[in-house]
Amino acid sequence: MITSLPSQLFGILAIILLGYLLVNIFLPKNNFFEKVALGFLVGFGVFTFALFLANWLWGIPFDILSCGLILLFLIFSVILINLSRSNKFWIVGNIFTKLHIYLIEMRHNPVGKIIIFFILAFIPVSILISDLYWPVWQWDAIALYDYRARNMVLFKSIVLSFNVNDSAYPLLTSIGHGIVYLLGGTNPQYLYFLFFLSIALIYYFFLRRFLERTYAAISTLFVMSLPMMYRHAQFALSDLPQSAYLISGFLYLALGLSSNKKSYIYVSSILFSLSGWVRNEPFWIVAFIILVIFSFRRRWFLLDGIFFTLSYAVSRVWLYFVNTVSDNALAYNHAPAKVFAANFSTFINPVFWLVPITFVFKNAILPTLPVYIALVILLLLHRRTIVKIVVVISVEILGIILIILAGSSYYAVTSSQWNALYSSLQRLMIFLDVLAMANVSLLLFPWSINKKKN
Amino acid sequence: MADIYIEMKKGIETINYLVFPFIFAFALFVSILESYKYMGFFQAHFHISSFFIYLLSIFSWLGLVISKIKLKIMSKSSLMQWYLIGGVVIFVIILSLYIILNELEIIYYDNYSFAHFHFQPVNLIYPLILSTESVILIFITNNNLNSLRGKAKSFLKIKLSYPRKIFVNSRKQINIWLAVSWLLFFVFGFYNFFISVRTFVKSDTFILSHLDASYDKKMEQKWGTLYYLVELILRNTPENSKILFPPKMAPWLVAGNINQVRYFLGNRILYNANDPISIEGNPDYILIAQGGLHPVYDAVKDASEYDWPKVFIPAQKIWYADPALGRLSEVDKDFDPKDSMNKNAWGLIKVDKKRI
Repeated sequence: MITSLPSQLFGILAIILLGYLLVNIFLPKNNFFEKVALGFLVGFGVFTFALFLANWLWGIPFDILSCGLILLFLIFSVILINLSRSNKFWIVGNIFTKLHIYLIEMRHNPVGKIIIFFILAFIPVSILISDLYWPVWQWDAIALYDYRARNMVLFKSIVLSFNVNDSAYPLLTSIGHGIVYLLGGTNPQYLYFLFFLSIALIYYFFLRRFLERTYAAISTLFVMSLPMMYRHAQFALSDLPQSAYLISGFLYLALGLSSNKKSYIYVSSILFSLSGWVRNEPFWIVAFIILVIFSFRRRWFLLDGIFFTLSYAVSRVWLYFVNTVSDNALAYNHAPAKVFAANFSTFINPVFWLVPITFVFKNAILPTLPVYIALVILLLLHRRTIVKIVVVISVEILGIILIILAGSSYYAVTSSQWNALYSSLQRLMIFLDVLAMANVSLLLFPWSINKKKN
Repeated sequence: MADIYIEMKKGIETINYLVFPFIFAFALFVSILESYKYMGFFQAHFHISSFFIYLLSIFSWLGLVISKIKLKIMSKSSLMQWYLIGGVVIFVIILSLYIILNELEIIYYDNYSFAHFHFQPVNLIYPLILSTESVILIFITNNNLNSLRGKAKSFLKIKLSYPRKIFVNSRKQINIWLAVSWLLFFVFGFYNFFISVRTFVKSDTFILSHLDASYDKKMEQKWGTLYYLVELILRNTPENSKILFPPKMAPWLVAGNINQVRYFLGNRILYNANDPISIEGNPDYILIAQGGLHPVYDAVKDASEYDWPKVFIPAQKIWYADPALGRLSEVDKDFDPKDSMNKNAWGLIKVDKKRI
């Protein structure tokens, strides 16, 4: 592991560079570290998807040379796009000036600042230590994600090594593990530390637009400490990566709708499409509906269409691939419309709904109930002066809960052991808790004097 | 002739108006009684079908609904109004019971309500349907509706003003609610932070004392028994050997999960038995699995269901793994499920193919 450290570092940095350049097309003026965090998510997703397409459509082998060439090609292409838009991507802003100012400020309260630094750094450092020490051990990772990755490296192919029985989830995490193995690594768990760090940074810079540094940092610390977040940053599973894409997707959608900046919405649609590359969950539908509702007056119909296409594209490609490989043996037999029609009498029975409502409340809301109570109190307190971004995020939260309810009711009629999978729902709700925390932070903490409210 | 029919109709409506309260009360009483006792109780004791009584009540109610004259009389009769309001109160009580008892059964187990309160929620549907008669009658008799509308409006005016009073009235009230929100947010946040610290310190103890632990040592720490079995198989079986695992059912759902262990076992041929007692496929090796590795997926009602295989197997050798002590032992004897060594055991059998 140590001997391959330079190659792994170089590889990860190159992927981040790809993502940074892609994000820079849409958000050239945003904070450097925010773009780096977003860049990791976007770069990782785009690069792994490109490798999959290259292997599937053109038979390009999955080895270090091909991966390197594809990455170089992508970086080069994105540099050209940036140059064509006159984006000076090589300018990283005044981060050094800010660092200099921060170090000067430390003279006034060195102890306090050092303590805060250690408190903030404790969670990420503890996760990094855990990820570097423990090998991939989670059952699902051993049975599926990492198993697929090892086969990809062994067969030098993503497609040839693919077994239709292992098609439960798309390939982002598996290809990611495969890239680490190709770079000489033996333990890909540190990728999940990077996902965790991306969430923390994106969340922090989102709040930083509205709040002072201290409040944004406190809220970020609380988000990092969320039990599911902390735990899953140490697991090589797909829950945290998916949450990373969904959290950023929903936050940037809210930013775009509240500030009327389409660039944020484009970034949001890319993030939602990549969330479908981690796990095929339909949360992007909530985002699309919210976009249509809030942008209707502005007649952003083209944007709506692009959002829909981008968000749906990746998961559709994956489904098509699985059906091709399985000769349609895994054709979707439980289409929601069919299930609804076949179980109509069940769905109109009010007593039936008590079951999924209880299930969702116990597993999605109860673990972070204080946050939701605080959110309701604050929404009522601020109901006359509520700002648009809070409204959008609140609607997002409501939409997500409704879709979870719909999904639970769907599984309640199609599967006899559906409620034994309560832990799956708890893991899935990481991103909902973060959105609720963001909303509470925006409502609870005083906004910076020079920040716009609408 | 037409006059006769009109007179007959009036007569029937009058009789219906007079008997409806009694039929309605009687039907409600029977439905509540049967929901407490059992469906068919009334027929069993009084030889009259309860369903017939319910139908009678519904027809009487329908007769009232379609009779405009009687509805007008009803709306002016204060006695009838109070009677219907009583029916509405019963409706609210039964609806609440219906929801609460169903909820309890979801939270605890099926039949919880009957076991504790002697009410089967599903049987409450009849009194619920019957009591809606009075709810609908209340709303379609105009006078009642108007006065109720007026009463409901003033009631709601008072109640809906509460949130405004609580949240807006004074700075003191706003501050209290803000303080509550701060408390909830910060206590929750710092609690989670300290839990994270505690979790890390606990795992840190192992990390610090096993800095140079091998991959196997780390996996044993995380997987326990299952990884001991993996090591047992790796150490004692050649590649391409056929290994039979227990069937994919509790209590061997985890131990029999081939997808879990194929990651480690390379080119060995792994497959499951079809049921607890059959040994098929001519295996080279057979796993010995007590079962019960997962508290939920491997749960069984009877302890006698543990332990696999359940049949005699001629063997060249048996390896036993003791995960608790981290020890392995080896014996040269056949596998007999009745042997005490094979109770609550984990291990591997090398099959004697000449004698099987």
